[in-house]
Amino acid sequence: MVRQQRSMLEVLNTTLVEEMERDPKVVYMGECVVGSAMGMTQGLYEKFGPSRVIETGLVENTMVAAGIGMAERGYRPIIDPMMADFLTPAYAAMTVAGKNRFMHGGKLNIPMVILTTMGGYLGLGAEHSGCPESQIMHMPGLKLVVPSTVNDARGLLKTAIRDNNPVVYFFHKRLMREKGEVSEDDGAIPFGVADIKREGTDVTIVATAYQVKLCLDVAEKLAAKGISVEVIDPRTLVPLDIETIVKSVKKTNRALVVDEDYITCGVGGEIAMQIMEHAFDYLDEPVKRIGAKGWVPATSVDRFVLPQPQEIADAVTSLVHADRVEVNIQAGKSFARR
Amino acid sequence: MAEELIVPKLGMAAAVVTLTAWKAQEGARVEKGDTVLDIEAEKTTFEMPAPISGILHILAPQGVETDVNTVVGLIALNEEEYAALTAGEADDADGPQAPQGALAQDMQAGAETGEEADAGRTFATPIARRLAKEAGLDLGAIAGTGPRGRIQRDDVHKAIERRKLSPALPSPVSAPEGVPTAMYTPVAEKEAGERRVRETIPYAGMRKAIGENMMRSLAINAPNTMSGDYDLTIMAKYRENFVQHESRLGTRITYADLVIHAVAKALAAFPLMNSSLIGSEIRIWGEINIGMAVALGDDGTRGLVVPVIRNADKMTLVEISKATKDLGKRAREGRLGAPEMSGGTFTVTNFGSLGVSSYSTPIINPPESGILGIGRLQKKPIVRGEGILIAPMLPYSLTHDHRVIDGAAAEKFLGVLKDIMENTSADLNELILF
Repeated sequence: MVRQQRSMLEVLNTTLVEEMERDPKVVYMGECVVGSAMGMTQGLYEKFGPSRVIETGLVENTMVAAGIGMAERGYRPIIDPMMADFLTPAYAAMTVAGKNRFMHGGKLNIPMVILTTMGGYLGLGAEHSGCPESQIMHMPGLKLVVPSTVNDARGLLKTAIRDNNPVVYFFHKRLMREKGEVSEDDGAIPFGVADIKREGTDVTIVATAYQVKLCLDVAEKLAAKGISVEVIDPRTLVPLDIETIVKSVKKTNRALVVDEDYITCGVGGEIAMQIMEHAFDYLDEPVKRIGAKGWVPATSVDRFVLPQPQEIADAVTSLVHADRVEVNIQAGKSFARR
Repeated sequence: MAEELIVPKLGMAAAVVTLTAWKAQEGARVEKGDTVLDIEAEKTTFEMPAPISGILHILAPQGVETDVNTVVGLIALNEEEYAALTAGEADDADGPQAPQGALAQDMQAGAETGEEADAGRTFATPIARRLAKEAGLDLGAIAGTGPRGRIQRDDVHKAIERRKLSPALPSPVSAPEGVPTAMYTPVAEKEAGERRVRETIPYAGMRKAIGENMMRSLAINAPNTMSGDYDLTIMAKYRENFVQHESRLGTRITYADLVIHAVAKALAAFPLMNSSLIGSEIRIWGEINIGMAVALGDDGTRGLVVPVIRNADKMTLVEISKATKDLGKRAREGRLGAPEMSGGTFTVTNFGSLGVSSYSTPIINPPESGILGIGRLQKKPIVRGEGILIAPMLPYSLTHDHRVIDGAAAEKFLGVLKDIMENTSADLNELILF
């Protein structure tokens, strides 16, 4: 198995090509896919033509609803509304996507992927910075993928396309240019299997997407101060691998959930609750959570709204009753200045 | 109406006691006067009798520490009353928990007001509770270091480690004499930092009780020590006579007995030394109860206890002598009860009998105001008139609390005592046997 460094965008692009070549029923449809605003559809139209790479215009509910119909008729549509924030008009169709299989006694398969970007730290403003993960988690029947590494992005996209249920796949804009190792084999990664990104003994951090990277950077700084942090990436929030999280909490007795969605009714609250339900007798501190504050991110206020590395470090040191550690890590440099 | 079992105040300093063992089961029938609970306070044990006959309902589990005046159990008059007491606790599968809420409230009249409703609750994290349960440790006996005194995981780990170091400590009360030996449990030689540790002695049990009492004394008192010598020429002659007639007196009179006898007389003549500063009052006590320090272990390394001779001023020398023998013997056997360990108003410590020293700076046993240390009796040349003669001299060191007694007043007391020591109390003549 040869490994090489490639960016997440590059890998998503080649993975799409691989899957579309492998299965002629895979269709790509969405906003600005021919022009490839984000970059992962670069060359797809040229390669697969207008019957498999379809430009829709700004009609999110329609494209998802059309996707449901295509899926029910045997296709494997990938729906791309460009940004997760733009999905709100499509929630009507998405709730149908999640329920339809169950409403028809399991007779319908809906092998659809909603593939799009999410996340802030780029100064892109309120309508381009959201991570509406908890909203998706709250819709029954939808799976939710939130990769944090290039290899996970590739392996999880393959599984998403091959899954017979509707899958929402959010990848973080701050990770698009991040490079990482990629396995050269098929590399499909099963859903519901969390990955321990860093082993530690003092505190368990459960983090998603870009927060995994921030937490790993913070963990490295804290390790120098003798604080051992375990970082767990669930990789898929639905299904959620609570077992791996609970196993870790039983070891460390302290947990922190870091997620970029809004904190109220968010991913942190859900995972913290499940930790309490499954590992109450092992907790030595109240579970902590970090998320976006309840007002909108924008160019000038991202750093006041979105989780910050120092905030993560402070939460960890408070959990272990240690002195504050200055981490001096900056989150959210513009990806344009890569 | 159910009768409450309230932790009594054992000794003047004891504010916290350990409920060492319930002697009757939950729901068991107990008769009035039966021992229902063993309590340990600092250095002594107390057997709590049932105040009435009835059915026992336990509120506080054994092994926990609790404040004095806390209600730790109830005795129901009959089955109906017992059923009413236990109603609503049926789903409490783990049995009685640490005293909570109103049951743990301080019953002391005029005690601190405005205490939080949580006072008396034991806060512990879930993992701490789990670990303590698995290790068979009572959370009430563990000090928490978390917010609001919350017991956390590492607090339990440390308690488990401490128990490993001194396996005999968890239930010291069943055999009080075992406590001192446990303090010297040898452990494997180990490296601690760069220094080699030969042995680790847990600072716990009696050792800790003594240490805390000493530190408290030095923290709250203004100690001043005065020292000198008594010429025991006359007293020695008396004692010679008493020793000759030991069998007829029924006890061997020691110099320590003579000193306690004399101190009791001096305190009666100078009551201010027999007092305690409590709050905004100096209370001069109506009784003269003299504590006598008894070192434990052949080499004095097993701690010390201070049994009390009550109303010593009203006792004859022979009675005092018999009392000191009895208390000393029982102290060494670990058989002293709470009444004999509390209520002292002045202490005599006789380090001269053990050692070689003459003077010391005795530490007051709070809330007393004075302590007299007796050194080694030695023949010394003294000047009498224009000549030098040899006399048996007894060195003394008096520490008094300067908050209560000034130096001049202490000198006055020492003058009274010196007169009794050197000329003897008149009532000794009655003992002279020919």
